[in-house]
Amino acid sequence: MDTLRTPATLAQLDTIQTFVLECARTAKAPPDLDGKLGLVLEELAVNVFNHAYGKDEGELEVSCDVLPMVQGRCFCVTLKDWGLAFDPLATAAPDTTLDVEQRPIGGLGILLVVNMSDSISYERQGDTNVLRVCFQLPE
Amino acid sequence: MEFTSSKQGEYLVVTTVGRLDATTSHLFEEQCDQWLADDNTRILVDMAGIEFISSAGLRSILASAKKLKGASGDIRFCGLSGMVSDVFKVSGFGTMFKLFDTQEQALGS
Repeated sequence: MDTLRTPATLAQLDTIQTFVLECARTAKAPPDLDGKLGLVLEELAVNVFNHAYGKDEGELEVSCDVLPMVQGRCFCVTLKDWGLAFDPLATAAPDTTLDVEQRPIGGLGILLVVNMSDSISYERQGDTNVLRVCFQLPE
Repeated sequence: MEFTSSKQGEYLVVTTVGRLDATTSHLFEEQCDQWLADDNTRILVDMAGIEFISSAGLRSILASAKKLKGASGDIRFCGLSGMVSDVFKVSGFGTMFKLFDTQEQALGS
């Protein structure tokens, strides 16, 4: 398992993306997964940057590993922060049928993450938030 | 990200290249504010050169669309492909906005 720990700031997003995409190459994930991976990472990391630590500074740890599944393998990315307890999966799904005038701005990040990944889970472990998101690898 | 624009009939046709993500999407909204300030209320965005979009990009598009609506204008899109097309579909933006394959189709409807 490879791990990267960085300050939880938007300036680190590029470093985090590069790290995960390199791990994906090592795991032999197909390049056409890169768009989804980049999207899911941005959404989850930006959530941590914006909300986990309030106005304080903090860190984000990102780990990548390949796990066996009942059928085949999956590439999993785990994000850990030491911020306020927050389960992003518990937020209400936005109404995607509203028109431009009625639609509130925001709230689409988690919807995209859930739709673009194959599985996602949240756990509060001690004083950390741990989100694991997985992508099925082709046989 | 980069923008080039040209007036075609009543539409300002905007070609975009790059990524609409958390670090760049504010540029789209700023450009849209400028087009609106220049009295362009009908905008066609050609997304063929956009390789990546996140919820931050959707946020800037919706914020701009609300301003254009408020000015009795319109924003429509063409040339979506790959993950950009998927993101529009999942978020409902694919039905909220008018989408076309090409500029010609978008301007002809």
